Amino acid sequence: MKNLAMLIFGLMFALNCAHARELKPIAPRAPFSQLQLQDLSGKNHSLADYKGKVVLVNFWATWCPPCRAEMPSIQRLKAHMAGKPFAILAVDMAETEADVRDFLREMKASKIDFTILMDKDGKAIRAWNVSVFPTSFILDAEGLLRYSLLGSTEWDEYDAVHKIEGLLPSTP
Amino acid sequence: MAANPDPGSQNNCMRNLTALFLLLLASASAWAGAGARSINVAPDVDVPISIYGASQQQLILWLPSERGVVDPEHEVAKQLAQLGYEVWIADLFGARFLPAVPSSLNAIPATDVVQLIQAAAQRHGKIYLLSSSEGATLALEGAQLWQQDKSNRPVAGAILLFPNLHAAIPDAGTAPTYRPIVAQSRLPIAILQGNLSPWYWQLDALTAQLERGGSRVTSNILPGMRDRFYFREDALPRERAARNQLAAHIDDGIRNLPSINLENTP
Repeated sequence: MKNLAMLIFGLMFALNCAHARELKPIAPRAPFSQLQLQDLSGKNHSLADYKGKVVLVNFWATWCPPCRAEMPSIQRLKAHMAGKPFAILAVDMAETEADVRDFLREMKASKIDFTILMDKDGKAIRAWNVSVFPTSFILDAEGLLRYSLLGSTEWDEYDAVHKIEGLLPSTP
Repeated sequence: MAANPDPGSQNNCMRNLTALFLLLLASASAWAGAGARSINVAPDVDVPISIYGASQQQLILWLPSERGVVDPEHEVAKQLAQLGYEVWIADLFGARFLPAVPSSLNAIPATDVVQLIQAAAQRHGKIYLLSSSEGATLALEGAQLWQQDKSNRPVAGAILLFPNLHAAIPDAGTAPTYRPIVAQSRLPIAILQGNLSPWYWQLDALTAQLERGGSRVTSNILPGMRDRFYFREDALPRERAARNQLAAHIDDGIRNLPSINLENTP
């Protein structure tokens, strides 16, 4: 009986650990904050450029273990959404380009190639009120904030994929 | 009826005893050089105090964070003692048999801190409260309660290491809200904050909120450090090395505490 109870407890614990955090709806739908940053190659990006696409904005840093942990799943999400109007903007918190490039080298096996933006002076972190790392936002094709997430998740699992696909603009 | 000894239970018992022995050994090693006393703060509640150094002029009362008292704090206390402070590490979790989890802080009344300050005030001149992360709330609440009695000599200041004074985890994209004690405190405060933290970017907001109540705040930024760096399980080599500078940073914080006329606290 005791063994059975321990087995049930163990299963519950394992299920709890395996359960990814879920995206939380933002209501009412809010317009996005501004985001105008350069990527690692020095190219300027503005959220306005992404109108018509669903966008995942992910605030992260190389020194943040949960941020690092979810990076491969963000890359898998990108692969899953290939060909669809979807974009990823991963905003690095005030680190140097060398820090980020070192991290990408470490993660070579995950072949991370989504857009990484450099928030060198923390302006975006302040504007978006980021209190927890990682913090993510999903914007719909109209540029409205629709979901948010505090902490990390497995981005290629059902909850995230289902909710992001639900925001994709319908094909005319 | 006596139960037959169960070999499994005996093994468990041996394992537990071994673990207890190792824990005691580790603790003894961490606390080497400490004096000890206990202070009664409530009926049947005696707080074990580890004491480092001896100074009647300035005492640091170190209150636990949400992780309870952690071993590296004893090392830092030893170094503070060498800088001329007397340091009391108060095991408020142990006093109430609380586990080292964040919710335990809610079970510690600010009156415990008041009793500790009371005991310290009998022999010491300046009393500084020191805590980290979520323990900052306990420090501020204890100081405020102590200072409500106008006959008490105010504490000389609070040193807050990467304080977490949020009322709750803010929803993504919303401005932080702080606990009511933040705007009610009237203290000289020194904040030590690593720059590898989202809270680093909110330091202005926290400072403004603290100063609303009459506190005066000075901040010392620790480059390349994450929150809880001196007791993180995943501490980086540079963070482990930085533990050796923490006492000096705390000393700087105390020396640079803003002046404030606490005798006329409204």
